[in-house]
Amino acid sequence: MTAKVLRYGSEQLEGLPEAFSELLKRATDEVSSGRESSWAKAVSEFNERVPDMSFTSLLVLPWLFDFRYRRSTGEAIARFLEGLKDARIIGTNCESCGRVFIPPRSFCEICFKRVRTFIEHNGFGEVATYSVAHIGTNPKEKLPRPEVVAVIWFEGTKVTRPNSNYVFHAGGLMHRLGEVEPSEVSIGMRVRPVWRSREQRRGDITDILYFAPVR
Amino acid sequence: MRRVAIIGAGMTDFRSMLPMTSPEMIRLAVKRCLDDCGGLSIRYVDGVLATSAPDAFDGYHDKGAIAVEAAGAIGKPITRVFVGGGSGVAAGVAGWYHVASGAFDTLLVVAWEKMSHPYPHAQKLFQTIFDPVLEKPLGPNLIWIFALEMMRYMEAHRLKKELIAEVAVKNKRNALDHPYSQLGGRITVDDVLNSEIMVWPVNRLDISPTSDGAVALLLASEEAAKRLTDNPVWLDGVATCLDSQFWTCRDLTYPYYVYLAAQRAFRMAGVTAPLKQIDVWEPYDPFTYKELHHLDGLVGKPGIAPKLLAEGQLERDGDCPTSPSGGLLGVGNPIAAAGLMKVAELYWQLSGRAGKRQVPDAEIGVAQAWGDLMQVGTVVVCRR
Amino acid sequence: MRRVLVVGLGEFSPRARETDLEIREMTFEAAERAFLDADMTPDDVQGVVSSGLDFNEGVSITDSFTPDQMGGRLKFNMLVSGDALEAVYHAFMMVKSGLLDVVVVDGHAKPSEIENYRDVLRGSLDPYCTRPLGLDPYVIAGLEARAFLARSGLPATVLSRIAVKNINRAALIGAPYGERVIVEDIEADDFLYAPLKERHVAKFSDYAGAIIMASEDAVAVSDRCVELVAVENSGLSSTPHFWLRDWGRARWVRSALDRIRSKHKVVTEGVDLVEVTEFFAHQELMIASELGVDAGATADERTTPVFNPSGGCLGNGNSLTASGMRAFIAAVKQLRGEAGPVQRKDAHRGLVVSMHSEISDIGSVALLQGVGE
Repeated sequence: MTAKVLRYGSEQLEGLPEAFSELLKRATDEVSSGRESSWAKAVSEFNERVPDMSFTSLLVLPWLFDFRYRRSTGEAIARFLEGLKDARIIGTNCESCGRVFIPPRSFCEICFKRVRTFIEHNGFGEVATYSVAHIGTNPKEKLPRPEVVAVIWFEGTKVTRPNSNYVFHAGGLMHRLGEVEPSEVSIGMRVRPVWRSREQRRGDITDILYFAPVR
Repeated sequence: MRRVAIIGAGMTDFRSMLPMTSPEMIRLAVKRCLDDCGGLSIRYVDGVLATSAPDAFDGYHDKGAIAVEAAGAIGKPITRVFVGGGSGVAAGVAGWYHVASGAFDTLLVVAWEKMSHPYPHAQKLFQTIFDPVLEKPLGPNLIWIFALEMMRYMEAHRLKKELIAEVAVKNKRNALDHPYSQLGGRITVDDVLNSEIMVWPVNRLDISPTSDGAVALLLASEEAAKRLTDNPVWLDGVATCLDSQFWTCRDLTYPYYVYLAAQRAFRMAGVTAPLKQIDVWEPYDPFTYKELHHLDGLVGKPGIAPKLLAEGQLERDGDCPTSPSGGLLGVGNPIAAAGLMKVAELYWQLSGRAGKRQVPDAEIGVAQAWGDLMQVGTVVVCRR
Repeated sequence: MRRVLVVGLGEFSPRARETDLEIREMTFEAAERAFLDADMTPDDVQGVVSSGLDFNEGVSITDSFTPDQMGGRLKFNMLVSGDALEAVYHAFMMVKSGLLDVVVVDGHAKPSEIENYRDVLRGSLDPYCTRPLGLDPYVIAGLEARAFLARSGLPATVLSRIAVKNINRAALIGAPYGERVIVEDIEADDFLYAPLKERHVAKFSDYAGAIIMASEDAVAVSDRCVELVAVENSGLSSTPHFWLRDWGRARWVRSALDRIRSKHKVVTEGVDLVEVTEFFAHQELMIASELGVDAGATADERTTPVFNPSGGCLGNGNSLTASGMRAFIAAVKQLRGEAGPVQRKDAHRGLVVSMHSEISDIGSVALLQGVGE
């Protein structure tokens, strides 16, 4: 990995982030593809955009993190993911306080006891809250179509505080909504999961394509 | 229980792409802090409490360990605390027990964040916050989940975006008077509403910027404070409170954890009627709605903040001035440093050094931050 | 000021690789045992101090994911980004200051889930001058070991004697890397980071530990309580700028010990045992010599204080930031008289010395003392 010296003046700092981020994009693309040839060109383009009238030298050093993990899921989540493969929603039930956990957990944080009772839920739920995402992970890239993202609370799992509408607990997932226009969505709307076809299900959360309104 | 004072504060500019490394930023903030204490020598500082948000931003694993020389901690205790976005104010809490326990007479609290490092953007790193099995495969953006919280809040109190946008207008205007601010400006409600929609109901101007910056505070025991300054500000109440990690199973309407933390801090500081007694409020405002949401929790009345906002009470000359510094929306949001900036603002306000930002006759102030998965509230209460 | 007691402890004992339980479930088991041990429920505890580092878990803001399994929902919370003994240090100050009366402290790590840990650890080094060299960061330990041997004049075989002592002790308690070995076995190992050979370097283990700390006036004091007399921390140089070190020394130990003496007005002499997080064999010796103990003698089974009766990291494994918790709990068990086959007779005072990370120049020291006879 080689370090490249870039020079610029603090006057340019305000306009810098965008130009800099483009340069870095070139740099990391080069690094990851093993090509170094157009790096010099990228630097010269950058210097044109941010003219060098500088008293400041900066060393710009691209580096990539490549940290890899292999995570065991534990029994509860393993059974949940197995269930998804069969288009079933699996949860657990704390026999002490009666709360239903979807996704399942192996312990109850309130009773502080192990939870061993697995249950199956029919998947029907309500929209606890929603938003309309115009961006995905990269805030600079617009999604081709805005997506409705929602927290789904599963039916029959809600526990409210006494004398209040404040929901103390519910079995809930974050997921997408489908088969619905953003303007038609409302909090409290009843929804059901829509699954990938059997052949396409792999035992992960995207086996549920989205939740759709029950009409 | 020993009384703990803040006796100095210093910070760097909050900017995108500050041409400094993290240790350089820390050093500058520490130097300005010591200068603020009449050029106190670092030799008189007993130790350092550091904070900085995810390791990923700086591109260091275990990044607390980069601050030893820069913060003047050679041969002194140095540890780092970290509770996500709540870190800056949590550092005030941790600083308090360092001194109150009798272990330290003087303690530097430093917070920094270098957010312009990550490529292609900080959100790529924020993604590592999500549950790797249940959430990450959806390709989420952190703004998604805040939009979910904002929607739930708006729905519960029937709030209009037009009202919430006033928070951005106020804070960016307040920030014009802050010498280190990044995004001070005069904008209108329409500017906010017409700015790009990121994740409805969050528009671009509802969001604080990503920034680089560092802040340092010097804390002292009562005895040391009397020796070192004529103008201490007392750190009288501290608390944190954390709710469950399973955020999809909780109601996001009201930050109950902020309420509990505030109650504990108020009790410790002898504040019994917060709305009456508190002169300066620095609730955490990474998003417009968050200032209101948090103020609800601090006051302990769901839905009260939007009412106060509509009445104009949250302005610097109102009854309940919030974010007179300009907050994260105006001064900038280098995560951990932004939280500590809010504590520094209490110090400047209550010691009468806030210049054009000064809230007249300020005696008691509260600063609060929030973080993790919409989960933790950190609160400090200060008194002149 | 009020005394701080360790009133309960629980462990998910170290193992080379845990495949059934996920990390939160391991932590829950440790916490569950700690509450049982202290005869308490989470309702008796006002706060949680957790420890850990983001990249050790592959999740940013790791503290989000610890409170539930510690019984910490809607309670005071703090994450200390570093070794678990630093979390103990924070908890100590919380109780001393009167902020909290009872607090639970966590240390957990699952290194078996990190596929390329050396790359993670390299990320703690200087990005400009060191990382581009692409070296295994553990070579820094090799540099340190070489400098220590040169400074102390000890022969390199002393490293194997330490390894033999720790690995044999670990065999007595069924720890994952315990075995019956003699010096010749270890000497026959290949060099990894010369002068360090294979079994001079701790291998990884998955582990979770929890302790409950309380003010003496908040609990019923029993013989099983152990007083945490003092705990201190010190940093000598930052990890990225490791070239600033005084090579071959662990000066942070002396600096922290000085603070224990001057701030807490206690003597640090007369300890019966010392638990150390020696990720590499020479670190136990380096720490011993800062404590004023003849380094060569620590390999001897009979010396007092005895070093690492539990078998240390060489025997129990390197559990990353949780290593300090394992060492701390091992010392508490000794002082309670519950250390089983490795129990030292009449153990009354103990020290725990724990490094911030394998290759850092920062660390913490705790002084413990039994409250019974």
